[in-house]
Amino acid sequence: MHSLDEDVALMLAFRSGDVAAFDQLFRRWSGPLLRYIDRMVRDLATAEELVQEVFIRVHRARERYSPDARFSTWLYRIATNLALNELRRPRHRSVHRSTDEDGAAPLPDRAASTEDLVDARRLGAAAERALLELPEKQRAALCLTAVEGLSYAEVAEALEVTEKAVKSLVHRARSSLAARLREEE
Amino acid sequence: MPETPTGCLVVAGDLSALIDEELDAAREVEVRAHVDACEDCAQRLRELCNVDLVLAGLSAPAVADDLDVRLRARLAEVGPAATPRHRARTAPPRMRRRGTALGIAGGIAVAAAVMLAVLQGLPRDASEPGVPIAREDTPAPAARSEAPESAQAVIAEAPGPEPDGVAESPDPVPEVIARQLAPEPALIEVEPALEPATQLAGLDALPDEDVALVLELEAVEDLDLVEHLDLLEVLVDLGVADGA
Ligand SMILES: [Zn+2]
Repeated sequence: MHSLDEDVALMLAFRSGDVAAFDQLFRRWSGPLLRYIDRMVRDLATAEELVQEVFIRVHRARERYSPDARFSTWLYRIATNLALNELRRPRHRSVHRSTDEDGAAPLPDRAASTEDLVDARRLGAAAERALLELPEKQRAALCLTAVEGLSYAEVAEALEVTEKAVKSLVHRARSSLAARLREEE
Repeated sequence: MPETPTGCLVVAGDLSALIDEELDAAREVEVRAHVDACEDCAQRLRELCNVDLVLAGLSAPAVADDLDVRLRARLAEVGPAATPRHRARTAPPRMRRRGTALGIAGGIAVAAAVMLAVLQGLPRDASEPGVPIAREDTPAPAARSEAPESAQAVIAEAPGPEPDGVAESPDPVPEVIARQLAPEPALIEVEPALEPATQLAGLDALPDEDVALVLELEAVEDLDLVEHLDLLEVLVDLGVADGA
């Protein structure tokens, strides 16, 4: 969990010239951003590039940073825009990473039986495939809400849509995945 | 079943928001009460919760050890920050944790659409759902917060530096923003597809706000048409299919 005050304080410190604060922001947020962008573009190398892009923008924007909005919302908005841009590139439309190779669902429970593990992996793979088939903004809305833990208001800001639209996007995305998982059960 | 199918339809549209703790207190009480008394909706809720559990279990890539080094190299190429500029922004929302509100397992989806499809005799797979595995609720993955301002205000205000930054990307985002700010004429032409919903819920009677949402979703998802069921799902989300 990242505290609001800490992120803002770090960004303000960076604005004041503390380069170590920028490094710390990178350490705090590169993981969540990589997870989110990778879910969106499904290509690790591209996701790594885009995470760097996000921080390049943060770096560039430090002088005009104003701590009135949540730092994470700002990051996710930049990340979303970059990911959507990437998805609209022609080369990306046909690229689908195999969902089997990167192992979908690891085992939360060490005592889980082999059957459970196989089941979890199968469901995870199905969920990965279903995620890929969602419209981009449904995918983004669901990932930001269910995985990254953003509120609808924050997702609305990140996706530049209304909160009502977020509610609908998330619900339909979740419903689509639920339907897919039901087929797998 | 304690309520009419219509009651279930409306509740179905709120189940995701219940999971996400995005319902206001009064609505949450209503939805929970319905779910407690209605096995169908309880099952739907379990299936939706199950989605979050599965997503939480997906592997995430590790940040490469040298990613910060690569970033520093790129920053050195890119050069110094742009000119300082300050803009008014909205107040910081307060933090909140995603709760473990739902001690429920399982899950269906399609819910509203399937039921509407059945009601309308539209073709849609409405096969009997399998029984999902009952599991504990998803733990809070991250901090959440509430931001009071509307997204439209945010778009108009273009808060912070990101629009500038992103605009420097080879594929500029402004396209996306522009599409939302100024809906394309094509959005208007979608009207014929709305007719089935009109029969169901009386689209003409909908508040402009709801119609606007339908059009927004159509634009957001790059759909050529709002298909009947998509629209019905939207209407259910809005609660306007009630009393159909
Ligand atoms: Zn019900």
